[in-house]
Amino acid sequence: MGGSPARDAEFTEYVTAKALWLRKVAYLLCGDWHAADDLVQATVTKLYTNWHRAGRADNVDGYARTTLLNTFLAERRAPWARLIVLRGTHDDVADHEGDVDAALDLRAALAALPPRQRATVVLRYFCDLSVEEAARTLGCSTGNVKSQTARGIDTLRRLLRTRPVASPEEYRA
Amino acid sequence: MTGDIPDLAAELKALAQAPAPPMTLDLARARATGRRRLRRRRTWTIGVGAAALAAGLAAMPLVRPAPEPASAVTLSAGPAPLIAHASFGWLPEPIAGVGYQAGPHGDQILARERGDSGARIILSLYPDDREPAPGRFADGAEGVAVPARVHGRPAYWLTHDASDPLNGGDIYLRWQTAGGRWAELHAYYLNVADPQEVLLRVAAGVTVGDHAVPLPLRIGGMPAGFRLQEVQLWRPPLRGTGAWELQVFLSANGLPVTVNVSPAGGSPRPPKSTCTSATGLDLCVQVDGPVPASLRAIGGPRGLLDRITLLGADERDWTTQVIG
Repeated sequence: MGGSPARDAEFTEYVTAKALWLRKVAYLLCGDWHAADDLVQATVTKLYTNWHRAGRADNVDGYARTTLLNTFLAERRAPWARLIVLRGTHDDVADHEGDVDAALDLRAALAALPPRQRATVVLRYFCDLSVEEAARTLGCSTGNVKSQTARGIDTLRRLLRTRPVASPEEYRA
Repeated sequence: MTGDIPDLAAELKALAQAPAPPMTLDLARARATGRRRLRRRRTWTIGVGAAALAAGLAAMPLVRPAPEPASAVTLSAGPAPLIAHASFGWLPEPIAGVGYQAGPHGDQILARERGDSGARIILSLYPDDREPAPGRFADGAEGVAVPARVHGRPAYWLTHDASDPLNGGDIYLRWQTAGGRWAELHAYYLNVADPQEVLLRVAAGVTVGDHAVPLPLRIGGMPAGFRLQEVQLWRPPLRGTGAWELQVFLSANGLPVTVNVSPAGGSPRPPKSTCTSATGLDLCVQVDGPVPASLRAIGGPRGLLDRITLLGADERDWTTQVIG
């Protein structure tokens, strides 16, 4: 069981193609590139272990994203995670113009959200998932996604002293 | 950045494009670790499979389809909008209150601690006395049942890993209640010394039975063209410092009209709302869009406010005869 050349080749091809995408989602969740890489490493290890299921899934990307989210949330629930302080904000990102400042503000605001809210905001606004898809990914009710999103956006707005944020659907309209 | 996030989706995409150090993903290590886990899993499965087969042959169970979970609270078209089908009993110290949400966005009975990362315990019911199968988690992994007992009745922890009944803190406990129906607790952010003991005690205190949930207002007849869509009683509130907040979502000619009630000064006033205060409570009617014809017909938001009687902050004065 495990380790067949065909399976390994399929898995390697998929992860090679999707690693940067997974890393971006992980970075928004973790707020730190090193922690994001650790999260992606843990995620692809789980993905390999469950490749017999992932490889057969209708939506492999969705499966990988769910694995990433669950790994992130499980780590944040662990007692040691409460002690983690994000690493220095400027050590791994070049200090560019205003755009980078903007990104750093948003990164700090995102980091201030509790893990489930952060995950919900990232799923809804970055991964562009509907309320129903986000609920399936997080294994919770759509009402829960709505309330987590509302609270997350409220906190972001307060931290960034900004005007209301429209829903992803409103942007698409 | 000036603090503006006019398009959060675009801002997040820009943030994810930020300059980054080289990626440190080690695919060979992922494959090697994954293979070791697969070998362990196979050994465990063979052992457990043999034991399960022996037990199954000794007492062949009656095979019935697995039941689907049902919500423990539903929206009613009668005078009492919220009908709960079960109730919490004992709850641990950090929990500040029990709320009910019913409608198209999900039905749940939710016990919460204050704060964004406060403990949450969600109560669900199964329709009958059939033991629910563990099923799969959202990530596709097979759920593993770790046996437990609640008041001597069958129960199990649902987890990804048999060695961790608490499932990394995203905890599921299913048990058979005194009347035979199965129920489920889903808890997370539960920061107590012994979560297993606490949740077994919470489960033991749950009672199954229908009851209307009292609410702090009476609406003197639903205006023509209005329909009840959703009711959310949050305890503690999502925002603010009050003890609770109530949102009644109505549809008037297909357009949304929301009635918000909260202890005076306890919750921020919703935008685009018309408000009044009485009996120590704030009452607001929020119309986020065009004013529906049926609302205009009764005098607009003010006309709806006039139809509502507030019953005060003392929950003993609340009523189940909310509409009519």
